[in-house]
Amino acid sequence: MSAGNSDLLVDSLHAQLRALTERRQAWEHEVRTPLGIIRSNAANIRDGIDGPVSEDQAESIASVLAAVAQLERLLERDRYTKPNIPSITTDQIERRQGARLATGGAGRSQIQLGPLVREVVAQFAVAAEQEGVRLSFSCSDGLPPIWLDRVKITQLVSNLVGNALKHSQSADSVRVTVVAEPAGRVLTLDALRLSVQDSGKGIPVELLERIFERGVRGYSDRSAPPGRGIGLTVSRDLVAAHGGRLWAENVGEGGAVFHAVLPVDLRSRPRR
Amino acid sequence: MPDISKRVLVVDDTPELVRAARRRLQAAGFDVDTAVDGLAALEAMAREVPDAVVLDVMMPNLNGFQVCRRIRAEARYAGVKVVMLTARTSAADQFWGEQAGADRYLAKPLDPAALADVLTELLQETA
Repeated sequence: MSAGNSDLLVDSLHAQLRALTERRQAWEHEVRTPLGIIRSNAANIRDGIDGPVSEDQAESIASVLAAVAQLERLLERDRYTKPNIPSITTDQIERRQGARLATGGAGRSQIQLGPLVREVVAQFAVAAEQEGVRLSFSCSDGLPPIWLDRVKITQLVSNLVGNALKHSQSADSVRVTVVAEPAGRVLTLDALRLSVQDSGKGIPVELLERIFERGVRGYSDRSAPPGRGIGLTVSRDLVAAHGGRLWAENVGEGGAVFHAVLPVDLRSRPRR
Repeated sequence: MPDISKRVLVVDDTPELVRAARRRLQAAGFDVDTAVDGLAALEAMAREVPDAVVLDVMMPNLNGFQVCRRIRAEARYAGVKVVMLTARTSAADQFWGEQAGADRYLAKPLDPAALADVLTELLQETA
């Protein structure tokens, strides 16, 4: 199999595993909601909230509640065992993708960053609309072209925007901007800054730097969207490969922002 | 049972769960108002300020964390107790619930009796 075909296969498997994980989580939510309805209403009946309960009725309701508890235990057990198989596979694939993208060939050319970012952001428009998240893009006028690897920067923007959307909910917003990097009080055109800001929950302060470590997830929780905590590690590698810097901050009004500063002319910087 | 009837606003986008909570809380002596999402909750609060709000986290329009932050930003809601009610039980979510200003955090599936107990305790503190 050629390297190109192998990459395509890896990408396809990666997408399928992610879709499977997402379907499973959606299914679990669909099951838990009616179980919660049965449980809370049955408990009300048991406790006489809806009127007097005969001995036989109490026995019946006790059976219903025991069955619900059994189903909830099964779901809980399944949650901690079943996802491990695809998770390991996904992790391996993501590592391979990350290594390939971070160290891959010299595909750099002079490109306008704004239009490239706009293209990638547009690919997320439908997903954002479905989730009720406001996704916007803006780019300053008059920015110079920048030496970059189109594939790597496409992956970087996908990672950052996808990450922001994963941790957003309905009525949240994700704002993507490309501007000249401020250097002190004077704007220079030596570097450009790509920023992806969300209005979600933000990142715990103690994790602001650690989220770029492999396996660390800033919003880690059991019901979080799929991911193995590697996307930001890869993103930082991709920015470093361009001689730039990637970091995260929390914003005052809530939410987090990721800034990637990329030198305009990579050839004047030492290669990493 | 509360000595003086306290008003509780229950906010969840699952009507059957709202009904179960309402019945239980009414039986415990609370006046109960309900809303189906975050925006409706803020509208209900603007009409009449409750003593406590029970907020689901995952809701359409504004989510529970967002509603909680807005409640905490309004001086006229300073005395309102907030209970976050969610299927998400991780330490990180509890952290964010507290950051948003929630007084208590109850994990789903909803236990109506536990909710009534928590509200009774919270509102006794303010009686």
